[in-house]
Amino acid sequence: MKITVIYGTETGNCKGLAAKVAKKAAKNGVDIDVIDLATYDIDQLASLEEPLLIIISTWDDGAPPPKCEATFNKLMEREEPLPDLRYTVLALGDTEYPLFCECGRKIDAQLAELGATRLLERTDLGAEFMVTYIGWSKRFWKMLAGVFGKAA
Amino acid sequence: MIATPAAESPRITRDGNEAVASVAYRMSELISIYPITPSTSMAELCDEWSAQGKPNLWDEIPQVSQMQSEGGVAGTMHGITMGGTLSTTFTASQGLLLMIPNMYKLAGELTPNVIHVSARAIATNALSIFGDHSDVMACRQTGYAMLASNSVQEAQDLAAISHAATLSSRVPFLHFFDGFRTSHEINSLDYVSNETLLDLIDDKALDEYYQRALTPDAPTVRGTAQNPDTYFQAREAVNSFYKEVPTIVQATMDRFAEKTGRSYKLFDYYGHPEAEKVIVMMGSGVETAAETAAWLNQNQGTKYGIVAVRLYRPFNTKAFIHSLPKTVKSIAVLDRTKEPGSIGEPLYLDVTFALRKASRCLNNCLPHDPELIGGRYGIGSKEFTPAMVKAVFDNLESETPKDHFTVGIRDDVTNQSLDWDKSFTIQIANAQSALFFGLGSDGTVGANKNTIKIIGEATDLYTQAYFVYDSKKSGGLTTSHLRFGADPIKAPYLIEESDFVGCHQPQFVGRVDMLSKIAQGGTFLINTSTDADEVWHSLPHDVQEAIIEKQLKLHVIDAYKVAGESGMGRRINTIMQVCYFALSDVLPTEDAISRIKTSIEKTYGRKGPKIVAMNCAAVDAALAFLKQIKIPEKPTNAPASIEWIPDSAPDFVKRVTGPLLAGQGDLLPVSAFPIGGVWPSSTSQYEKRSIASAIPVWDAETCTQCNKCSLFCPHAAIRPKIYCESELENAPQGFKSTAYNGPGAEDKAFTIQVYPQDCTGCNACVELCPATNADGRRAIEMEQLAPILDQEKESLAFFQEIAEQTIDPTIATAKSIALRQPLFEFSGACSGCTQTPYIRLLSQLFGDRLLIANATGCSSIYGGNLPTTPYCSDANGRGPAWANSLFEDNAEFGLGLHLSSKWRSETARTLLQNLDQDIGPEEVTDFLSIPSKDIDKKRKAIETFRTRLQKIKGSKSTRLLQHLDYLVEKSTWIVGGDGWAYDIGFGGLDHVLATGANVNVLVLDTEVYSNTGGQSSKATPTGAQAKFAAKGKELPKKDLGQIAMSYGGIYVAQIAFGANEQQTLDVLREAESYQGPSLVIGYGPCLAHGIDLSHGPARQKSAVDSGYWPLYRFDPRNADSDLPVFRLDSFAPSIPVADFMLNENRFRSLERSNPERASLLLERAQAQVDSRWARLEAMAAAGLEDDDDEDDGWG
Ligand SMILES: Cc1cc2nc3c(=O)[nH]c(=O)nc-3n(C[C@H](O)[C@H](O)[C@H](O)COP(=O)(O)O)c2cc1C
Repeated sequence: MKITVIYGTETGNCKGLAAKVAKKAAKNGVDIDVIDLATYDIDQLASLEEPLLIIISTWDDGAPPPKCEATFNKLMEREEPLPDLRYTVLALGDTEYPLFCECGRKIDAQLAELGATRLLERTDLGAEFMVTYIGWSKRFWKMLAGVFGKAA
Repeated sequence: MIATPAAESPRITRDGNEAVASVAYRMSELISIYPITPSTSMAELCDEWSAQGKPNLWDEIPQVSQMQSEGGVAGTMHGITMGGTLSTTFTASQGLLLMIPNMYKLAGELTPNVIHVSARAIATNALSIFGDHSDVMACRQTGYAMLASNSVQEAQDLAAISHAATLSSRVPFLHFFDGFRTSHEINSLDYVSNETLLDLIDDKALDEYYQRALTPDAPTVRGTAQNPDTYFQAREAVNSFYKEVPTIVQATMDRFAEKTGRSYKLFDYYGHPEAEKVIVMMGSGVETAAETAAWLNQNQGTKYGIVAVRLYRPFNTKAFIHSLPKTVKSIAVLDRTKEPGSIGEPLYLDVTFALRKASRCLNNCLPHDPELIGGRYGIGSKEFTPAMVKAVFDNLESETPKDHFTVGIRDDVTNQSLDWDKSFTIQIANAQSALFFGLGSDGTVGANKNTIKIIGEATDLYTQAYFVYDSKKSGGLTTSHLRFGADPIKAPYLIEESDFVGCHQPQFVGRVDMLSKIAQGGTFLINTSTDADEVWHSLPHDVQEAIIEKQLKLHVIDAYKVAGESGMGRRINTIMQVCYFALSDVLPTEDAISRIKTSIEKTYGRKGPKIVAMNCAAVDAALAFLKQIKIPEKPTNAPASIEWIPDSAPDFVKRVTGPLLAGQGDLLPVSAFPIGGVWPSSTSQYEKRSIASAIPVWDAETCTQCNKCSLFCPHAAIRPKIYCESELENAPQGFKSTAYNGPGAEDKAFTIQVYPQDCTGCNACVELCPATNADGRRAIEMEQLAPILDQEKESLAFFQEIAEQTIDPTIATAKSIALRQPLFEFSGACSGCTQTPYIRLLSQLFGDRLLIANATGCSSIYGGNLPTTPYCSDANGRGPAWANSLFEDNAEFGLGLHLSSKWRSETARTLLQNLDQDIGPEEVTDFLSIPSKDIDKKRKAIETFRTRLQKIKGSKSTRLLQHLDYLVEKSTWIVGGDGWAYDIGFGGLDHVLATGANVNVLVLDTEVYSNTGGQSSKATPTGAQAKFAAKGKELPKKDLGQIAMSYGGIYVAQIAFGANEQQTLDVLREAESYQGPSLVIGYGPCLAHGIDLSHGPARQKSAVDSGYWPLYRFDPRNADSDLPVFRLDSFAPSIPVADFMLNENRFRSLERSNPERASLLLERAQAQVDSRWARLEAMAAAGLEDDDDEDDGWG
């Protein structure tokens, strides 16, 4: 059992949530790769076999975290389909900004557009993400239990 | 004057505090301490000596305990001495006042001890850290004996006499000397040896002291409560002891004279043996007065004399009368304190009564009753000069002398001041002087201390050094006053005629008055990067004129060039020091250079041979760059005056702030000042300090408009604005702008503008700018100021004129908050300060209804230390209202402000309801239902009510008008540092939080007493070295948040702005909206941590990442919602705490000095982090009932 988590972050919130996912994975005996989107080669998505979780925040009125801009753009410009990819997006943002979780939305839409399979509806978390994360986490692991055939 | 080399002698060079501390330490066993300016260094030295294992007279190592307040110190000292151990302490001002209750006890119980006081003003209409006798005069009724010292030598000597006499007499002693003038003056003195000190101590008295201790081996009880039948008689039982004190003190003084040759009397007389006019006074002014009297007697044939009071309590009438020459006809008594409403100041009253007793009881030992007048001088370290002494004698000479006069100021309201002849001065025989102007950060003061030390060690000259600082925490002006000569230097006033003036910063020329105090034919040295041929022409007319008229020798050096070429960056102090030695002839230059190098070795040796070599290379290179400038016969530049304040400024700013900024505050008369301690806000904008040599410059293309630079700017010197593109039509050339990117961006432009003369150049904005372009340049980068200043000033002027887009006042994101006007700007805080952004945020969030109670400390100094005030107001004239009461009482004071505004709000609401028929019932009902957020709507309604009320007759209407503005509730914030919140003010803070009142507390936690120079507090963490924790703090930091959370009904949060801006903002808003007490603890990295403040926000982040400073919130409101009451806002530690700690010198320094202890404490620190994190996580989990994951399919 293995999953990959790619996070895109500016101030560390998404990275912190990725760490929480990793902790839970260890507890559940699931192997996990945690990767920073800023340094990720988008082309590798095509060959990714395990389920993918993308955790990404929104900056500057809909833009990605500045550190991930290049990778993000590359993904958005991509045209070759990703039919084998199975994924879900966890978007971070703040409802006080007009374009709430825009970046997560865009990624989610683009992956769907490229033919990837959405394993779980995207979740948008606002400023209360430290609390609301828990509900999402439960749904996420329930979904994985299904994927890995652990469901009771 | 090439002096002869020093002979073997006990002579040393010290400041008053060190001279006193050395004696107090050696004569004590247990010492309790607390920091307060200007006494702090005495306590610090004792702590250091104890940490180093230095012994006292009995070869034991005194132990030092830091307490939470001076009240605590006095209580501890009471216990220590009742327990039979020798004790002492050091304090001043408010600190001494806090000791008073115990002083009565200690004296009533006849328990020996000595309190050394560097006498300082008491906060009245304003706080003053400076010297006068207001504090000690408030203790004259406590029963302490009081001894006054008038110089550094005397401070040491009378410290010894106090410690000996208290044992012999059993009466406790308060030994005092003038704050700053004596405590911080460096002067030559003869060291008093252990042998002499031991000899002074009465062995029998010491034995009896030990015997009297409270002990179960010979049980007694103390501190009983007595009834009317007994208290009075028992109180009188002390009389015989007080009677003995003068005899004992004089005997101790005589014994001291036998041992040292320095003889003192209860009252010492200086001057003409047949003097007719006599001044009676005490403190450092005595030396000025005595020297002036001697000079006048010698040069003008006068018959003047001075009586110096040494033993002020018990006041011995007989000794006083005997000290007066029989010929005295009139006396002026000078008090350095003010007692409004009394018949006269305390010393004046004492002298009056003594004379009255003399003529009645002592058989008319004076042939006639002298005329008597009294006056005040030197309050709050106001200069007291020979000219003022002469003015006092002139007053005595006049036919109708002014009584109750003041000298040193111009009182044009009650006309009590004496005029003095500003040109009068007395020459100090055989002495040279030198004045140096530098910046707080440029090392000028340090180099001059070293110069004085070199002269003191290398020659047999007597030396004196005194340093004047302005009150800014960065970029402040320092003036060093150095004198040395063949005779002891008795001139406790600033240099009036200097042989040498050194200007260490080119920007001072023409702005700082440096030449009015230079002697005819003196030497003027300027550090400047201007070419030697150009220098003359670069000087303003007035400077040129002074140089020509005074026939000065003008020298220049490009010290920055020398420093740069020898790899020293901008460290110019030793280079300037070499030039001084070369231009003065006090030492052979070669000799001076080799001594400078020796001290470089000593100072920088630990930093490695490379640093030492670099410094030495700079020293060697310096003289080749030193050039003399030929002086033309006439000034070549036309006169031009400096505009200190723009013409558009308000009248007060022009009348008062202007002169203060120009260094002319001393000339302002009494009538210039607002009464009752009130000062207008919004004045820092006129200061334009221009202390940065490089400022950030904005690159519109690269910028992502995140506004972080503005958000973190400690001085509010970077501001963003969104405006209509059409505004740009009138933009000046070079004004930078870009299209706004954000909601509703069409036709909107965006600019980030730096305030070039208000920026302090801290570099924090550059460090945290997240946007870089392809070349790796950030959207904001530092550039030299000089070439761009005019452009930036022009841009700024335009920027300030542009009408900004209104932003939704209910939204407060990290990005949008920076668009709101800061109502706290350009303070005098340190460059890179991490506390000021928190305060600025408060002003941006709640500024127009913000009431701040500010504990004494850094935030009260940068918040309200003249000359200017950083709190300012918005376009409607509203803004933060700010006040400082004291250090210890801030929570209570803030509660009072809150209760008062709440009372007025409630009264207004009630009156409004009572008057609703007259005002308009519907409007009143509407008003009462406006949500508290909608302040604009409320204000509009209030204006309507006001117009209507003005037409309604009756007392209720009048009363409502008086309270009307309180219909908008005020937001009370109680702000202060950790010294206040964790230590001295904790009891009050705890109580105020427990009252349930709707007040908000913001603790600016720098983990040390920052304002007094970095002493340990209970917020100081394990492993940190601080002053008063020279060994490294062992115990953990107190968990203030946990204590407050234990009440249950208090909103509590920990924030660290650089780690999470949004959480900081959310917390401040939640705290404010919580209808009950809130406590917000903000992490504030500080210079005292031994860090580079340009990385302040990064330090905050690292503190959070390592779990050293977890972010959390405890919001009692959530008990009724889905959200947990307690929640963690930061993630599990991702780096070991060592990664955080070892990047800061406060922790690293211990590793260097004591690696074993450092690693032990580091281990403990990690254990503390781990256990706290586990505890907090458990608390957070407990609040989230659905955090169990039983039902997610994974078991
Ligand atoms: C300058 C700035 C701009 C932001 N813009 C948006 C935005 O447009 N939409 C949004 O939903 N959140 C926005 N946010 C909120 C962040 O996405 C949110 O703070 C998130 O938790 C950051 O996650 P990270 O630390 O992993 O980067 C913005 C935050 C800042 C400071």
